[in-house]
Amino acid sequence: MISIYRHGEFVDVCKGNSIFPISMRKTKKAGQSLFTGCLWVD
Amino acid sequence: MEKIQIRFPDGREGSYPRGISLEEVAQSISPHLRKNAAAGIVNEKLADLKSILQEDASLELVMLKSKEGAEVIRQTAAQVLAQSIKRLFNGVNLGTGPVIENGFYYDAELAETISVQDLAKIEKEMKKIINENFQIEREEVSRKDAERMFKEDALKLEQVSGFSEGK
Repeated sequence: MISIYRHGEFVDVCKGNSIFPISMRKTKKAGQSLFTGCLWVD
Repeated sequence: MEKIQIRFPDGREGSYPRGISLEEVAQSISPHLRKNAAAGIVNEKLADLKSILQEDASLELVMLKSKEGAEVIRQTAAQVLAQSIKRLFNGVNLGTGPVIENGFYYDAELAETISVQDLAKIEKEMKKIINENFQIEREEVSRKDAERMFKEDALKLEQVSGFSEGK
């Protein structure tokens, strides 16, 4: 199974059912900080 | 309307209309449950809240604050990260963006070099995307269709070519 994810203008693809649409409201509720970023540059 | 039986982890069973979504089942139990659910485990397989139940099944709702719920949130957050990078930088080729034990990441190839200072800008854009509150949609496609959709995107095309169409 190949899944397409659409969100606004953004489209992505993944194998299987590994994208779980949840509302952005819930994403917002999940935490004040979405990521404490690390950056790897090759 | 035809009915199906849904079994819950506490042994309770309920009769629901065939074609009901996991989100609607959660809502029928309580609005609080729907609000705090991230996904569901249907017959021991993780499924999103929009998934439809067509036959008798066991169902466990996955809460946002559980370990599985965190993975669901991270999966979405990885997509939002990728969307933010696409908006902010030129010549972005996205690789993979998996959930890992303590978070998530997204590989991206960029025409320009980004620095640690750009992280704040990326996070700001992520918050903006979240506030835009678009509906996330998932659809299943054939490999041929996926290849056509990502024909301009070398890294994605490479991924898609390696996907099997089976489950």
